[in-house]
Amino acid sequence: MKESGPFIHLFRTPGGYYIYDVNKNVIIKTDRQIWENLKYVQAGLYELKDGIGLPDKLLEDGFLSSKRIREIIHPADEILVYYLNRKIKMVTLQVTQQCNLRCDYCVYSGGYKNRGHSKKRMDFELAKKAIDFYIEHSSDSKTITIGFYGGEPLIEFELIKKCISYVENMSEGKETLFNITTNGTLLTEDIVQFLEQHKVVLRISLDGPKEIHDKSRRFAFNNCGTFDKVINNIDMIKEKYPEYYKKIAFSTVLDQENDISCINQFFTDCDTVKELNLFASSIVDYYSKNEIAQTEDYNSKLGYEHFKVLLSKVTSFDEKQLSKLVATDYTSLEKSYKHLKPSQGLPDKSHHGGPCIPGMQRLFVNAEGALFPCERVSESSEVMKIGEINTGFDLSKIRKLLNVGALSEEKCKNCWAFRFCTLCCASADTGNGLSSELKTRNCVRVRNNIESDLKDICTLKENNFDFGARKWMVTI
Amino acid sequence: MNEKRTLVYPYDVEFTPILRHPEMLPDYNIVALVSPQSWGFNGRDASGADGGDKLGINVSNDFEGLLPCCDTVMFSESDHKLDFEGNILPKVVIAAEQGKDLVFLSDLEDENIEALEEICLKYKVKLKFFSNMGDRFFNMDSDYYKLQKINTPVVFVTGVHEKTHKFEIQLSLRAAFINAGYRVSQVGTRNYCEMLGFHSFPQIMYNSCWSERTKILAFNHYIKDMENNEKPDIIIIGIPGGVMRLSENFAGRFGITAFEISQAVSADAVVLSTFYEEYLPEYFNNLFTSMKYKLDFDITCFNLANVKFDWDVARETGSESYLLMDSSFIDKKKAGYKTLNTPVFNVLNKEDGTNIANCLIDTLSYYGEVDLV
Repeated sequence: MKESGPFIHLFRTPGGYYIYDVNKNVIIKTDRQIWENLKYVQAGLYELKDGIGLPDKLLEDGFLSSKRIREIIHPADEILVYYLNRKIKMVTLQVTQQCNLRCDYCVYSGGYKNRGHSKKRMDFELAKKAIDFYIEHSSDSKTITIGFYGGEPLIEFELIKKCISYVENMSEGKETLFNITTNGTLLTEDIVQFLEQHKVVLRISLDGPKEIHDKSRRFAFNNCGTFDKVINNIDMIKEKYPEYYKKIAFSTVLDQENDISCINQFFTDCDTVKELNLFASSIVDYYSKNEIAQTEDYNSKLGYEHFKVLLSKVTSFDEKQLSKLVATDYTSLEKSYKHLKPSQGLPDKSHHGGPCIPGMQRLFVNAEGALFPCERVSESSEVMKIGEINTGFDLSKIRKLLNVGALSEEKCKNCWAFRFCTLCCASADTGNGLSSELKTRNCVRVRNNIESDLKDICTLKENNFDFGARKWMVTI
Repeated sequence: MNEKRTLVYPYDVEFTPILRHPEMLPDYNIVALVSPQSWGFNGRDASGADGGDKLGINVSNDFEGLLPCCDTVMFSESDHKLDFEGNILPKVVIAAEQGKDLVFLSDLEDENIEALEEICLKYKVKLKFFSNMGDRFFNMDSDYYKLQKINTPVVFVTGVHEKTHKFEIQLSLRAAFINAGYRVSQVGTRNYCEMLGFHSFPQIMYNSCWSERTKILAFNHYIKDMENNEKPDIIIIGIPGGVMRLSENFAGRFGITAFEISQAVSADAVVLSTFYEEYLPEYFNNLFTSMKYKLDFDITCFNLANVKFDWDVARETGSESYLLMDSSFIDKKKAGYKTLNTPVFNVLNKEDGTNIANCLIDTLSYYGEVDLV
């Protein structure tokens, strides 16, 4: 694409020809002739002024502008210090690095470069300091949200109890939310009773039926699978704490080598789990020592389930027949749709989508009191360590992570997916620093995902689906 | 000296303007500020609540511990909301048990007032309310049929939305005009302005039983009566809410109150306060034009508040969210708008508090010099 040409992206669906205008941030529906002509414009063979069929008024109104961002800098850069001093949204405490499981794809189990299991645990004094730090740095936030993370956090249940009590004693005047992600093997009646009493949002890792779950999730002490134990515990909750049971959600890691149909059927048919919510995600490849393989069967089956989601929006296809594995697909699509917000044009200075404000969005405090942007980044990467609980934030490091787009500045300035990009600092972290090369390796995947969303939006619209009343598309 | 040593609870940005203008509160000497620990102000100077210059008094979370140092507990309105039964009432009981008089600035339900009266009776302490006093001299009369001319210069204090430091501007202007020797009549945006020596905005203006036409005429007559009775040199009207909707989802009251007031009374000078953003100068010019044709007034000066509307969090949570910055940051930013025809000030900068007043006085004086027949 010519850098000086119109800053647009052309795509088509079976039902139409479209132009995504990066400056205006809208999709323009057009006809084949104009669409083809624009391809020539992009190739530098025609000029827009050559009368390619576009209405003059459209160009006069600033559509198809060639304007690019002049400088990649995050809008929050200048006021970063205020976000960090006043608006931390949540804190996640790594109460321990120990785990009673050894899961193949777990970031702690050796398959990843970012961390490994250890016996390190957080003591109560450190936990209190972390909570105090959060309270002192969140006066402009309306809620207190605290997550407990591990290793396996329930190994430190007594510490969790103390933390919750400490927070509740100081929570007057703000809504307080707790959440915990657990492998589900250590849940007992006493623990569940406490969690229910204190309204702790419980998320249990469960990957599917026994043969699939046990393949990856095994006890450390005997290498046996954990499925039976987890299901027994969930059955116990269902029987003894039926109201709390209804609020449990599962976190499911989809390994591309597994049979999706099988997993789907399990979450649809199994009495213990079929009524509960599910958040599925593919294995994370950031920091992975090995490349995560893509299989055709996996992509094709998941694609079919995604298709049914779209079908349910435009036909009478029963939503009850939708797979829970793609339950968040529509929400995600709706989010992309909402992102199509008409704009006057790109500003001179901006940053591609993707990075949150490191430390403000979901501050992660590890068992030793080091601060990280979130629980997903590498604890062993010096570049990701954004401070210490005793000394506070390291602003210069945070600023570098926030402006990760500067690593690939020239490419980003000319990328049509600039506004929708999902890449943050984790995508560029080699473990020894930030790498432009590593980051840009993800660009094709991200652009494909974004284009796929745009196509889905247009396809739904072609079939008279109503996202809302906003003008998200111009027809010429 | 008849000042009551007063503890304020719960303290946050809503009370800071009063703290910055203690001369407006002759009956009360603020000796302690308490807010819940979760609000994050504990141990910090009170200026942490509005980002302005240091105030020299720290915020504590120890309500009981500080009670002995006061005679009165003032229960303030707050930006963070507290539950009356769960949070306020227990503090009321503790204070009353220790013989402290109680003052309430927040709006209360009738049943809550009854509960308070019962407690005060039991412990023989005084109870005073400063809320909902704005309707006392307001006469909603459907027989009004035309607008009356207001001969005294009128100043509007407006904002693009809530949380733009309008009340701080109102108090700064009041202080500056009074210091300059003017007699000031004033209607303020809060419900307890009577405590500060002026009128609260009449709540009946929000009553849907009356037509908008009647409200506009009644407000006009209310100001006319004020002019006749108080014989001021200047009238300051603080307009509650914003002058426009922020977005489809954050519309406030669509600027309806601003529209009604601007139809009821013609403004001779106007301050419009905006949130902080990295605005191009055209933003201010466009606001000027928009207000000129929508609300029929010329903006005399802008105030750039040290508050950013946090669109990301607001979209995510569906509720309004703000980020506060230091006032010194705004001082640097406003320097970029020096070439505008309409000046941009930062009310939290002490000099600008006076500069805004001087700017308005210059405008009003110019009108006074030109004798149009």
